[in-house]
Amino acid sequence: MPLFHKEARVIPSLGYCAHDSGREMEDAAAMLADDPDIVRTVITHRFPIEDATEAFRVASERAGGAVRVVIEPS
Amino acid sequence: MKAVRSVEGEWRSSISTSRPCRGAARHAGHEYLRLRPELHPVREPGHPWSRAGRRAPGRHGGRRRGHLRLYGVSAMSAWCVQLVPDPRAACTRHQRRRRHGRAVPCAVGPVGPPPDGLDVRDASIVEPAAVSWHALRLAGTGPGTRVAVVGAGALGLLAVAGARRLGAEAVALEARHQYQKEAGERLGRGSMPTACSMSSLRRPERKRAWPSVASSSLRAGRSLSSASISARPAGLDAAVPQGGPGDPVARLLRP
Repeated sequence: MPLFHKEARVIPSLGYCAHDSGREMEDAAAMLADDPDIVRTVITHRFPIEDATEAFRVASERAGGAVRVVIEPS
Repeated sequence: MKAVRSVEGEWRSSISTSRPCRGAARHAGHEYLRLRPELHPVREPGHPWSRAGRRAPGRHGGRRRGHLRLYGVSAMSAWCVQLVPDPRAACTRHQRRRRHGRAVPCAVGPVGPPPDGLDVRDASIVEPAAVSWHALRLAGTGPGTRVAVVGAGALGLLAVAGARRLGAEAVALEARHQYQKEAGERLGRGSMPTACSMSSLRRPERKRAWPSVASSSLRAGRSLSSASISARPAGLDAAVPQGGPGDPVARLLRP
Protein backbone atom coordinates (compact mmCIF):
# COMPACT_ATOMS: atom_id res chain seq x y z
CA MET A 1 0.00 0.00 0.00
CA PRO A 2 2.76 2.55 0.65
CA LEU A 3 3.68 2.15 -2.98
CA PHE A 4 0.23 3.27 -4.06
CA HIS A 5 -0.12 6.02 -1.48
CA LYS A 6 3.10 7.61 -2.63
CA GLU A 7 2.57 6.82 -6.29
CA ALA A 8 6.00 5.34 -6.20
CA ARG A 9 7.75 3.88 -9.18
CA VAL A 10 9.37 0.51 -8.84
CA ILE A 11 12.18 -0.27 -11.24
CA PRO A 12 13.17 -3.92 -11.31
CA SER A 13 16.88 -4.29 -11.89
CA LEU A 14 18.51 -7.42 -13.20
CA GLY A 15 22.19 -7.95 -13.62
CA TYR A 16 24.15 -5.29 -15.47
CA CYS A 17 24.85 -4.09 -18.95
CA ALA A 18 26.73 -1.72 -21.17
CA HIS A 19 25.80 1.92 -21.49
CA ASP A 20 26.72 4.84 -23.70
CA SER A 21 30.04 5.55 -22.03
CA GLY A 22 31.17 2.06 -21.16
CA ARG A 23 30.15 -1.00 -19.25
CA GLU A 24 28.89 -1.26 -15.74
CA MET A 25 31.28 -4.12 -15.05
CA GLU A 26 34.16 -1.78 -15.83
CA ASP A 27 32.62 0.97 -13.72
CA ALA A 28 32.36 -1.38 -10.79
CA ALA A 29 35.91 -2.66 -11.26
CA ALA A 30 37.21 0.90 -11.37
CA MET A 31 35.36 1.72 -8.17
CA LEU A 32 36.91 -1.24 -6.40
CA ALA A 33 40.36 -0.46 -7.74
CA ASP A 34 40.19 3.16 -6.60
CA ASP A 35 39.02 2.37 -3.10
CA PRO A 36 40.65 -0.72 -1.55
CA ASP A 37 38.57 -0.21 1.58
CA ILE A 38 35.56 -1.58 -0.26
CA VAL A 39 37.27 -4.89 -0.90
CA ARG A 40 38.59 -5.05 2.64
CA THR A 41 35.11 -4.41 4.02
CA VAL A 42 33.09 -6.70 1.80
CA ILE A 43 35.44 -9.69 1.66
CA THR A 44 35.38 -10.76 5.27
CA HIS A 45 36.90 -14.22 5.04
CA ARG A 46 39.43 -16.02 2.89
CA PHE A 47 40.13 -19.72 2.83
CA PRO A 48 42.54 -21.95 0.94
CA ILE A 49 40.90 -24.34 -1.45
CA GLU A 50 41.56 -27.24 0.89
CA ASP A 51 39.17 -25.65 3.40
CA ALA A 52 36.35 -25.12 0.92
CA THR A 53 33.87 -26.99 3.08
CA GLU A 54 34.61 -24.75 6.03
CA ALA A 55 34.35 -21.73 3.76
CA PHE A 56 30.85 -22.68 2.74
CA ARG A 57 29.90 -23.27 6.36
CA VAL A 58 31.14 -19.82 7.32
CA ALA A 59 29.43 -18.25 4.31
CA SER A 60 26.10 -19.74 5.27
CA GLU A 61 26.16 -18.18 8.74
CA ARG A 62 25.48 -14.55 8.10
CA ALA A 63 25.05 -13.81 11.78
CA GLY A 64 28.66 -14.85 12.21
CA GLY A 65 29.94 -11.84 10.34
CA ALA A 66 30.42 -13.22 6.85
CA VAL A 67 29.63 -10.94 3.96
CA ARG A 68 31.72 -12.41 1.16
CA VAL A 69 33.87 -15.48 1.50
CA VAL A 70 36.63 -16.09 -1.00
CA ILE A 71 38.31 -19.39 -1.67
CA GLU A 72 41.82 -19.01 -3.01
CA PRO A 73 43.47 -21.88 -4.84
CA SER A 74 46.86 -22.80 -3.55
CA MET B 1 24.79 -16.09 -3.22
CA LYS B 2 27.07 -15.84 -0.28
CA ALA B 3 30.25 -17.52 -1.36
CA VAL B 4 32.41 -16.46 -4.22
CA ARG B 5 35.60 -17.90 -5.53
CA SER B 6 38.41 -16.68 -7.63
CA VAL B 7 40.68 -18.78 -9.72
CA GLU B 8 43.93 -17.60 -11.15
CA GLY B 9 46.13 -19.59 -13.46
CA GLU B 10 45.40 -22.77 -15.28
CA TRP B 11 42.23 -24.33 -14.16
CA ARG B 12 42.66 -27.85 -12.90
CA SER B 13 41.18 -27.90 -9.45
CA SER B 14 37.96 -29.46 -8.38
CA ILE B 15 36.31 -27.96 -5.35
CA SER B 16 34.43 -30.43 -3.25
CA THR B 17 31.85 -29.05 -0.89
CA SER B 18 29.51 -30.57 1.59
CA ARG B 19 26.66 -29.76 -0.78
CA PRO B 20 28.00 -30.21 -4.27
CA CYS B 21 25.88 -29.20 -7.20
CA ARG B 22 24.24 -32.16 -8.78
CA GLY B 23 25.46 -32.75 -12.26
CA ALA B 24 28.37 -30.35 -12.02
CA ALA B 25 31.47 -32.25 -12.99
CA ARG B 26 33.84 -29.63 -11.68
CA HIS B 27 33.43 -26.41 -9.82
CA ALA B 28 35.66 -23.54 -10.62
CA GLY B 29 35.49 -19.92 -9.67
CA HIS B 30 32.34 -17.90 -9.74
CA GLU B 31 32.51 -14.36 -10.96
CA TYR B 32 36.03 -13.88 -12.11
CA LEU B 33 38.16 -16.57 -13.62
CA ARG B 34 41.52 -16.44 -15.24
CA LEU B 35 42.04 -19.68 -16.99
CA ARG B 36 45.11 -18.86 -18.99
CA PRO B 37 47.47 -15.91 -18.84
CA GLU B 38 46.23 -14.54 -22.13
CA LEU B 39 42.57 -15.10 -21.42
CA HIS B 40 40.56 -13.28 -18.80
CA PRO B 41 37.02 -14.48 -19.06
CA VAL B 42 34.54 -13.23 -16.58
CA ARG B 43 31.15 -14.60 -15.84
CA GLU B 44 29.51 -11.40 -16.81
CA PRO B 45 25.86 -11.85 -17.70
CA GLY B 46 23.51 -12.24 -14.81
CA HIS B 47 20.67 -13.55 -16.87
CA PRO B 48 20.25 -16.85 -18.68
CA TRP B 49 19.89 -15.39 -22.13
CA SER B 50 22.11 -12.38 -22.00
CA ARG B 51 25.31 -11.87 -23.92
CA ALA B 52 28.39 -10.80 -22.12
CA GLY B 53 28.06 -7.11 -21.53
CA ARG B 54 26.15 -6.53 -24.71
CA ARG B 55 22.57 -6.29 -23.68
CA ALA B 56 20.70 -3.06 -23.19
CA PRO B 57 18.61 -2.59 -20.05
CA GLY B 58 15.49 -4.66 -20.27
CA ARG B 59 16.69 -6.71 -23.19
CA HIS B 60 17.82 -10.17 -22.32
CA GLY B 61 17.92 -11.79 -25.73
CA GLY B 62 21.06 -12.95 -27.44
CA ARG B 63 23.07 -15.94 -28.40
CA ARG B 64 25.77 -17.50 -26.37
CA ARG B 65 29.24 -17.04 -27.70
CA GLY B 66 32.66 -18.36 -27.02
CA HIS B 67 34.09 -21.77 -26.72
CA LEU B 68 33.53 -22.02 -23.01
CA ARG B 69 30.34 -21.96 -21.08
CA LEU B 70 29.80 -21.42 -17.44
CA TYR B 71 26.77 -22.48 -15.58
CA GLY B 72 25.92 -20.76 -12.36
CA VAL B 73 24.04 -23.28 -10.31
CA SER B 74 22.17 -22.28 -7.23
CA ALA B 75 23.06 -24.75 -4.53
CA MET B 76 21.42 -23.94 -1.25
CA SER B 77 22.98 -20.76 0.03
CA ALA B 78 25.96 -20.77 -2.28
CA TRP B 79 26.63 -20.62 -5.97
CA CYS B 80 28.84 -22.90 -7.91
CA VAL B 81 29.97 -22.74 -11.49
CA GLN B 82 30.18 -25.58 -13.90
CA LEU B 83 32.70 -25.31 -16.68
CA VAL B 84 31.67 -27.02 -19.90
CA PRO B 85 34.49 -26.90 -22.45
CA ASP B 86 32.49 -28.58 -25.15
CA PRO B 87 29.29 -26.76 -26.08
CA ARG B 88 27.87 -29.99 -27.39
CA ALA B 89 28.01 -31.36 -23.88
CA ALA B 90 25.66 -28.68 -22.72
CA CYS B 91 22.19 -29.86 -22.03
CA THR B 92 19.03 -28.05 -22.97
CA ARG B 93 17.50 -25.46 -20.73
CA HIS B 94 14.74 -27.85 -19.83
CA GLN B 95 17.27 -30.51 -18.90
CA ARG B 96 19.24 -28.04 -16.84
CA ARG B 97 16.16 -27.09 -14.90
CA ARG B 98 15.40 -30.73 -14.34
CA ARG B 99 18.91 -31.54 -13.23
CA HIS B 100 19.89 -28.46 -11.32
CA GLY B 101 16.68 -26.80 -10.33
CA ARG B 102 17.27 -23.08 -10.80
CA ALA B 103 20.22 -23.46 -13.09
CA VAL B 104 21.39 -20.32 -14.82
CA PRO B 105 23.39 -20.79 -18.00
CA CYS B 106 25.79 -18.03 -18.84
CA ALA B 107 28.07 -17.15 -21.67
CA VAL B 108 31.56 -15.87 -21.11
CA GLY B 109 33.50 -13.45 -23.18
CA PRO B 110 37.09 -12.38 -22.84
CA VAL B 111 37.49 -9.06 -21.12
CA GLY B 112 40.53 -7.18 -20.05
CA PRO B 113 42.45 -7.94 -16.92
CA PRO B 114 41.39 -6.23 -13.70
CA PRO B 115 42.35 -2.56 -13.56
CA ASP B 116 45.47 -1.54 -11.74
CA GLY B 117 44.91 -1.60 -8.03
CA LEU B 118 42.51 -4.53 -8.10
CA ASP B 119 43.99 -7.93 -7.46
CA VAL B 120 42.43 -10.79 -9.37
CA ARG B 121 41.80 -12.50 -6.03
CA ASP B 122 39.62 -9.57 -5.05
CA ALA B 123 37.93 -9.28 -8.42
CA SER B 124 35.29 -11.79 -7.47
CA ILE B 125 33.19 -8.96 -6.07
CA VAL B 126 33.24 -7.03 -9.31
CA GLU B 127 30.16 -8.89 -10.46
CA PRO B 128 27.95 -8.15 -7.42
CA ALA B 129 29.28 -4.59 -7.45
CA ALA B 130 28.08 -4.30 -11.04
CA VAL B 131 24.66 -5.60 -9.99
CA SER B 132 24.35 -2.87 -7.38
CA TRP B 133 25.78 -0.30 -9.77
CA HIS B 134 23.15 -1.22 -12.37
CA ALA B 135 20.31 -0.72 -9.88
CA LEU B 136 21.70 2.61 -8.75
CA ARG B 137 22.14 3.79 -12.31
CA LEU B 138 18.64 2.76 -13.37
CA ALA B 139 17.25 4.65 -10.39
CA GLY B 140 19.05 7.80 -11.43
CA THR B 141 21.49 8.03 -8.57
CA GLY B 142 23.75 11.01 -8.83
CA PRO B 143 24.65 14.33 -7.27
CA GLY B 144 21.75 15.71 -5.27
CA THR B 145 20.01 12.39 -4.73
CA ARG B 146 19.52 10.81 -1.35
CA VAL B 147 19.71 7.06 -1.28
CA ALA B 148 18.21 4.54 1.11
CA VAL B 149 19.57 1.02 0.92
CA VAL B 150 17.51 -1.73 2.50
CA GLY B 151 19.47 -4.81 3.37
CA ALA B 152 23.17 -4.93 4.13
CA GLY B 153 24.43 -8.06 2.47
CA ALA B 154 27.09 -7.78 -0.19
CA LEU B 155 24.72 -6.14 -2.68
CA GLY B 156 23.49 -3.65 -0.12
CA LEU B 157 26.98 -2.72 1.07
CA LEU B 158 28.22 -2.38 -2.47
CA ALA B 159 25.18 -0.22 -3.21
CA VAL B 160 26.29 2.09 -0.39
CA ALA B 161 29.75 2.31 -1.90
CA GLY B 162 28.32 2.78 -5.37
CA ALA B 163 25.96 5.54 -4.28
CA ARG B 164 28.83 7.42 -2.71
CA ARG B 165 30.89 6.92 -5.86
CA LEU B 166 28.03 8.26 -7.99
CA GLY B 167 27.91 11.39 -5.88
CA ALA B 168 24.76 10.83 -3.85
CA GLU B 169 24.16 13.59 -1.36
CA ALA B 170 23.33 11.20 1.48
CA VAL B 171 23.12 7.46 1.93
CA ALA B 172 21.21 5.59 4.61
CA LEU B 173 21.40 1.88 5.23
CA GLU B 174 19.05 -0.46 7.00
CA ALA B 175 21.02 -3.39 8.36
CA ARG B 176 20.05 -6.34 10.46
CA HIS B 177 23.34 -7.08 12.20
CA GLN B 178 25.75 -4.83 14.02
CA TYR B 179 28.72 -5.84 11.88
CA GLN B 180 26.72 -4.90 8.80
CA LYS B 181 26.01 -1.47 10.24
CA GLU B 182 29.67 -0.96 10.97
CA ALA B 183 30.59 -2.03 7.46
CA GLY B 184 28.02 0.35 6.03
CA GLU B 185 29.40 3.23 8.05
CA ARG B 186 32.89 2.50 6.73
CA LEU B 187 31.72 2.38 3.13
CA GLY B 188 29.44 5.39 3.39
CA ARG B 189 31.75 7.55 5.39
CA GLY B 190 30.78 11.16 5.28
CA SER B 191 27.47 10.47 3.64
CA MET B 192 25.36 8.56 6.13
CA PRO B 193 23.56 11.12 8.28
CA THR B 194 21.15 8.63 9.75
CA ALA B 195 23.75 6.15 10.91
CA CYS B 196 22.17 3.10 9.37
CA SER B 197 18.70 3.75 10.70
CA MET B 198 15.66 4.38 8.55
CA SER B 199 13.42 5.33 11.44
CA SER B 200 14.22 9.01 11.28
CA LEU B 201 13.63 9.00 7.56
CA ARG B 202 10.04 7.98 8.10
CA ARG B 203 9.04 10.91 10.32
CA PRO B 204 6.82 13.34 8.44
CA GLU B 205 8.51 16.33 10.05
CA ARG B 206 11.78 15.26 8.47
CA LYS B 207 10.67 15.26 4.89
CA ARG B 208 14.04 16.62 3.91
CA ALA B 209 15.53 13.32 4.90
CA TRP B 210 13.33 11.26 2.65
CA PRO B 211 15.47 9.68 0.00
CA SER B 212 14.79 10.11 -3.64
CA VAL B 213 16.24 6.73 -4.43
CA ALA B 214 15.71 3.53 -2.52
CA SER B 215 17.65 0.42 -3.34
CA SER B 216 16.34 -2.77 -1.87
CA SER B 217 18.78 -5.61 -1.88
CA LEU B 218 17.09 -8.02 0.47
CA ARG B 219 15.19 -10.88 -1.05
CA ALA B 220 12.08 -10.49 1.02
CA GLY B 221 8.79 -8.75 0.54
CA ARG B 222 9.30 -6.56 3.57
CA SER B 223 12.40 -5.01 2.09
CA LEU B 224 10.49 -3.47 -0.77
CA SER B 225 7.82 -2.34 1.65
CA SER B 226 10.46 -0.78 3.87
CA ALA B 227 12.06 0.92 0.89
CA SER B 228 8.77 2.38 -0.23
CA ILE B 229 7.89 3.58 3.28
CA SER B 230 11.17 5.38 3.61
CA ALA B 231 11.03 7.00 0.23
CA ARG B 232 9.65 10.37 -0.61
CA PRO B 233 6.15 10.50 -2.07
CA ALA B 234 5.47 10.74 -5.76
CA GLY B 235 8.66 10.12 -7.53
CA LEU B 236 10.34 7.30 -5.70
CA ASP B 237 12.66 5.21 -7.74
CA ALA B 238 12.86 1.96 -5.86
CA ALA B 239 15.43 -0.11 -7.65
CA VAL B 240 15.33 -3.76 -6.74
CA PRO B 241 18.42 -5.57 -7.92
CA GLN B 242 18.59 -9.22 -8.84
CA GLY B 243 15.37 -11.01 -9.56
CA GLY B 244 14.32 -14.48 -8.57
CA PRO B 245 11.39 -16.40 -7.18
CA GLY B 246 11.93 -14.94 -3.74
CA ASP B 247 12.45 -11.36 -4.74
CA PRO B 248 10.14 -8.58 -3.60
CA VAL B 249 8.72 -7.80 -7.01
CA ALA B 250 7.86 -11.42 -7.70
CA ARG B 251 6.06 -11.60 -4.39
CA LEU B 252 4.25 -8.38 -5.09
CA LEU B 253 3.01 -9.52 -8.47
CA ARG B 254 2.19 -13.07 -7.48
CA PRO B 255 -1.58 -13.66 -7.76
